[in-house]
Amino acid sequence: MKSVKTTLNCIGVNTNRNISVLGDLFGFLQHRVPRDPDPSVKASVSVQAQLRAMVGRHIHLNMITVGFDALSASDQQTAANKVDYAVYRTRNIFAQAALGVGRVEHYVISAAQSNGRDDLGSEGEADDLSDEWSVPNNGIDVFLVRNISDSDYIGISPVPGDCDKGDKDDGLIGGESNLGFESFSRTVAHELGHFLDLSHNHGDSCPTTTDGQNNLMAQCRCALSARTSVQLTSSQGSTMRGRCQVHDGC
Amino acid sequence: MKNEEPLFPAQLPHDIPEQKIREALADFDQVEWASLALKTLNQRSPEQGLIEARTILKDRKAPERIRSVASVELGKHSDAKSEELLIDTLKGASPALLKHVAKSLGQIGGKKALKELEKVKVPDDTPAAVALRFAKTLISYRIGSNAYLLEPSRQIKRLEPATTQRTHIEFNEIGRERLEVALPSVRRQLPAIDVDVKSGLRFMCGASEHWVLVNAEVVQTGSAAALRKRPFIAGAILKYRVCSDHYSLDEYILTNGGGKDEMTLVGVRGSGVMVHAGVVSVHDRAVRFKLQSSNPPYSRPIDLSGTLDTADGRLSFSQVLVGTSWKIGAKPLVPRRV
Repeated sequence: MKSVKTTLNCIGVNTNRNISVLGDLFGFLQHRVPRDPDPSVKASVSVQAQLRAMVGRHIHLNMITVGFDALSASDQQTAANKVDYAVYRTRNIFAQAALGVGRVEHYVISAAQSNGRDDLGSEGEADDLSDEWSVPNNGIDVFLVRNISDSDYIGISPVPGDCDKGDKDDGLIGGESNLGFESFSRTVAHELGHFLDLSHNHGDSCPTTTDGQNNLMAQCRCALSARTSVQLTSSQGSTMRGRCQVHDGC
Repeated sequence: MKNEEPLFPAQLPHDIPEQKIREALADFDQVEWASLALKTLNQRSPEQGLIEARTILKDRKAPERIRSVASVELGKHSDAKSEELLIDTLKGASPALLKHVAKSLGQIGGKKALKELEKVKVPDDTPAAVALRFAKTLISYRIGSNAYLLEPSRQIKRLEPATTQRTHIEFNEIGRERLEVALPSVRRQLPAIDVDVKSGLRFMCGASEHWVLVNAEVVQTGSAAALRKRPFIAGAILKYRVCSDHYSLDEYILTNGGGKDEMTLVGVRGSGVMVHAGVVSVHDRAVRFKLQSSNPPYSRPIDLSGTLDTADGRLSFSQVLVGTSWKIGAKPLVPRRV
């Protein structure tokens, strides 16, 4: 197994400075393991497992918060906790499909800079946001907005996302800060699934099997719970690992 | 419902029991749950959601966040009650709420709404000002007024798709049956526009299916001449959203009228961002259009021409070339890293 420094260099983290394992290797904004919302469960991470995951195919993420500065101080703290929990959950969910989450960078678009796109009133406005902003690197842009006032959606992603950064469909809306921890995290992982070419695992009618309802790609209306409906099949894993946004192992 | 009793710690919106929705809507102290409860109601039962949304919007003490959700919902139903309520809300609305109220009025409002929107003053270049301006524009096109028409701005450039990097887009009929099934959700996107079910076409752009729909008014007898005289919302492009499993507005197609042989044609998003520009000319019953200008980074270079036969609603395209490269013109902004 490669060292932490070698792995960080491989995934594009600058190691010519003080590095933080929890910040740079695991991508937690607050440089600590997020708390599980279920008090009976202790969240934990394994350096060994993460180094092993980076030997396999993996993605990089740019978590872009939009207008979180307009939240109250306590809500900003809760929102930051949700972002870290979403990174933690997404890594665990995608690990089932042998897809690693590598470099995670955090970006901010302030409410003032966002031209009102921190409170989305339509899916078209979500397109405006991802067209107007892009991080010029090899990570997937995940926009997390302060608020969505439109009842018709809780997240949006093209299926699949564009390979070229700066192209029309090169980003996704991972959700709004108001969602609960589990819903927020599942929405981020679900939209990433779409971005990596996964469609819903059902048509108009919801799946009839528990496995189907517990799949990450079951629509909200069909999923059993935000916490448990996060399974992926081997075929879904294979589809995701084959996408252009996925990087070879270190 | 109090903080220590969260509505759904591990549930999804569709799981929220009816009783919990009622409780959440009765307790604005937990605004995130109340807002989510209203959204859930809007999805589950749009009619009940509309009634609840009206009650909430009327309540000036209700939190801005939930009134925003209510005002967006009202903009998806074209009826006098909703329009009147949105007009009443214009007075005293915060800038954040005003943005949504103005947008909704733009979607469903008529002459009275236009007059009331004209009275609202907000600082230029704020999201509320942009929404107000575009609401007035949209109503102008819908009622055939010349007051707030769009002209291609500096951002709209003639960008020819490079011959080595362009793709031909094919159009196919949507089919009346398929369109009729989708009509309820189409109406939520275009609440005050009567869509012609015969003339709709579908095409793929990027990974998404799109529909181009024509305003039924434009394919009525004598409409070709009318198109020359007055501004119109001639149609719209809708984009399929996998996640919400419906077609949502991608851009309005607007024609400027003006009595000349050649008229301005613009494609504009629901937020007021102009994305395409071109020209339209009327020859007897045929309306010929050409689109060659785009607004990067919102749209790719395009070279499109076609005809709408207003007698039978037949829409046909003679050429549709779209550039595959976006590396022309304005680049997206880069957010600040933390």
